[in-house]
Amino acid sequence: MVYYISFILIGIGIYGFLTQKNLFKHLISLTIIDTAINIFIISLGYISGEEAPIYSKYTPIANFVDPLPQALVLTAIVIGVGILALGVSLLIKVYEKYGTLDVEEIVAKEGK
Amino acid sequence: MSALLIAVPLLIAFLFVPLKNKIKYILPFVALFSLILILKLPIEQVNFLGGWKAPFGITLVLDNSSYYSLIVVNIIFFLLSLIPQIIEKDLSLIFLILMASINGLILTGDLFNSFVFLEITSVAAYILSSSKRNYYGAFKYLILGSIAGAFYLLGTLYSYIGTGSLNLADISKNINSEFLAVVPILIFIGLAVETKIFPLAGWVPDVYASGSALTPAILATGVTFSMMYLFGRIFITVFHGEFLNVVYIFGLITVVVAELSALKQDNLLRALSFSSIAQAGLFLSVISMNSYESLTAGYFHLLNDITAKFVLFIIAASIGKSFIKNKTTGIAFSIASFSLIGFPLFAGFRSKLLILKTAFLNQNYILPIILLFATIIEIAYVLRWNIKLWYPDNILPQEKEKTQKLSWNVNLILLIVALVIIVIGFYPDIYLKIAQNIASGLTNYRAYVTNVLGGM
Repeated sequence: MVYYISFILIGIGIYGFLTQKNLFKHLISLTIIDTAINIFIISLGYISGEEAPIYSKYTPIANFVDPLPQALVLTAIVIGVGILALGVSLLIKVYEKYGTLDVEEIVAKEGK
Repeated sequence: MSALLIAVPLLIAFLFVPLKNKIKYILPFVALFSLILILKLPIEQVNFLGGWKAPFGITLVLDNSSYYSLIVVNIIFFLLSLIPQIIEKDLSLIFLILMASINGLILTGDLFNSFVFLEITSVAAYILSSSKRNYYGAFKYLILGSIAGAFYLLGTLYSYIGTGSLNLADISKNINSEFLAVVPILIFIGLAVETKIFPLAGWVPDVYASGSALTPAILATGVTFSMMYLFGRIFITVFHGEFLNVVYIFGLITVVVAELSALKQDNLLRALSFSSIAQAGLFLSVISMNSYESLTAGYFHLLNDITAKFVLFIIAASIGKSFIKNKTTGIAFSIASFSLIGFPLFAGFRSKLLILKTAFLNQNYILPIILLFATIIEIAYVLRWNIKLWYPDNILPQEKEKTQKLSWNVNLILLIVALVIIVIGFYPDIYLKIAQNIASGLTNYRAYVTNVLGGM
């Protein structure tokens, strides 16, 4: 079930890229795709009825969900945040240079 | 030992953050250190990080192909570090980080780890491409590159679902036809932005033609070479040549479209960036024939192309509208551009001949037609640019005053690289040996698997 959510979100993200003209909305679409993939990674390792993969005296039988996707998603989230920060700082510079974030207006000013 | 190649540049980059202005003088030493370290490392060595054995932990694999790719990339970094004029003050740090991540990208034997290094490389490339106030081009690159990164991650996850492993050798061993339907497509989309395949290469002219000399000189040579290495590693060693027939067609379309666009440009840097896209397409369609000979020809051509592009991009970005004040630089430019079109006696001729020979041996007649068609267009625009720069018409006197003479070290390095092009034209053995070693390492996937996983 969770798979469907992540693929719908990826679809929304790609729709955002193709239709929006504001650069900030492109960045938001990128974040939506990132989130969708993170949800997908988390849903990979989930096994219904199993426990969190922490070994302790309360879990004598290691009935764990797959811990690897959780390690992967941490890395993916960190990378996503880094790229988001870089993108926003680039957008600030774009706005300082052109005075707008609209793709068509920027292309018109570049062409001059 | 090989982990030092990643750790040392990263460590120095973080240690020298307070001394940003001094870091310029340290770059050559770091590059030289990596180069010497690589030459001292034994080949066929696998490094298990943290002591975890192969399918479970992250491995750094040093075999024939990664060894020679590392040498090529580090020589490029060393040469660039000797020209501190083109490295802007704040970009020296990024230069070191790019060095660490590219070394890691080539060494790694783990698919998710390669995604991480791919993203670090891309982030460093975004920052590099925003120099000279080229923020819009950099943002475009960021958006495209990050979507591609997301698809690469999705491909990585599907291969984890399909084989239960992230280790390249383990995936190569446990490959099955069910997951082969989806993973190569996702990873191809992921790598298509960095390897400059046609529909996803729209960012290239905006980024390369920003006016900064460092950005194209590093992105079109070192980064492109490492991405092509990764492409070969994944599609030939891991997927055994699956999906390459699609890559072949995309490569040919890229060649035709990019050459035609290069002909139309009235800006030298933009023309060169389209030529760079075209050469990447040609390379991908050559290696898609998936044999030892075609890989040798492909990597040989790629080596010649990056040597020529190194000279061409630095000159195109740092020179004004003519060679009037820089005659020696002009000679280096002409040599490199003749090598680009494959004029006899220059290095490019050898590799284009080898590509034609391999294509005919494989009874492939479409690639030679496209290659010769592309060469004709290349001749047209390369000669036009040479004439325009050597005999400029209607150049204003004050513009002539403004063009500065390039300093001696830039000229010296450009001339040395241009000399290498001529030497390779006569004695291609040096580059051929590198290409053959890379090709043998990539095609021999059984040796790779036993090397990493141990005798099984």
